[in-house]
Amino acid sequence: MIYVSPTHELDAGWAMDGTSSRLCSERDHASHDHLGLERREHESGELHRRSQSSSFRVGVDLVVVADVARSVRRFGNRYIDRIFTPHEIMCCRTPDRAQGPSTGYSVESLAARFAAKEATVKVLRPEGPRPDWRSIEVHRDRGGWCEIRLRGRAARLAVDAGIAELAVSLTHESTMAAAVVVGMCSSGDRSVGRPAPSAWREE
Amino acid sequence: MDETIRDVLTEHGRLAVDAGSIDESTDLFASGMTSHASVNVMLALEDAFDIEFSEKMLRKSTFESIAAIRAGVLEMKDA
Repeated sequence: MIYVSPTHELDAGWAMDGTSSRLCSERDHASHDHLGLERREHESGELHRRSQSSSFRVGVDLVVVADVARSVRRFGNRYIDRIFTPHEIMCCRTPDRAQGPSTGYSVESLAARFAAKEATVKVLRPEGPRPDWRSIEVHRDRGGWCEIRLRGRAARLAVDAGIAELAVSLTHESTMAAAVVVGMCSSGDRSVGRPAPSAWREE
Repeated sequence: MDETIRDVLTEHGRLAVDAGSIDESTDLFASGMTSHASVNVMLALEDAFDIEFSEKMLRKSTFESIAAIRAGVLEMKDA
């Protein structure tokens, strides 16, 4: 019997690699430490720890703010409406035009949201067509915190990958914007049926 | 058509190479085109050829080379 370890392990440090796996023999034995992480000792004496039922995917993206400003000026609402949801557009509007003097938008905020969409795509890992940008929404709550909401093909990809949760962090300076998205897969077994989380709306 | 595609790439592709002289099979992403630049390329192609790329065309491979773009534009014009 061969045991295939899950997708993240601890050797010298956490290796959050969603594709890696390692073969261990049945003579490996397991125990659990105070973090709830399985300790599995190999024949070689090499030690691995893993969480019992989850794995992670990470995506990151970096966007040049000036590129977004240029797109808004060049393509206007065609660019905005093709990429961003009404909620995102509302969040990025600058009524007094104090920012983005020629666009009416905070182009830094738009750039950060574009980065979040691309980072999410890296987590979803589509093998065919990529999901429409608008099927990935950065939703900002009243406190200013953001979360990723999916619909359509993006939601289907998340369900198929067993992604139960997505966490996002956005940041920007005047010239660059970036986002990191972490997806937690509730199980590595894609055949396990799970209801889609409420934020995943399949259409 | 290829000349128009090369013009679009020159203006919007943010390539590190001359779009006017690269081979039609040159990988545009490996040549410096970012995902955001590919959005601009897509919108500019839609303007130039009076088409709209459908969601099923929104894949990296559609914009990975001049040859791929030409095939995509022709597919959308025939749609």
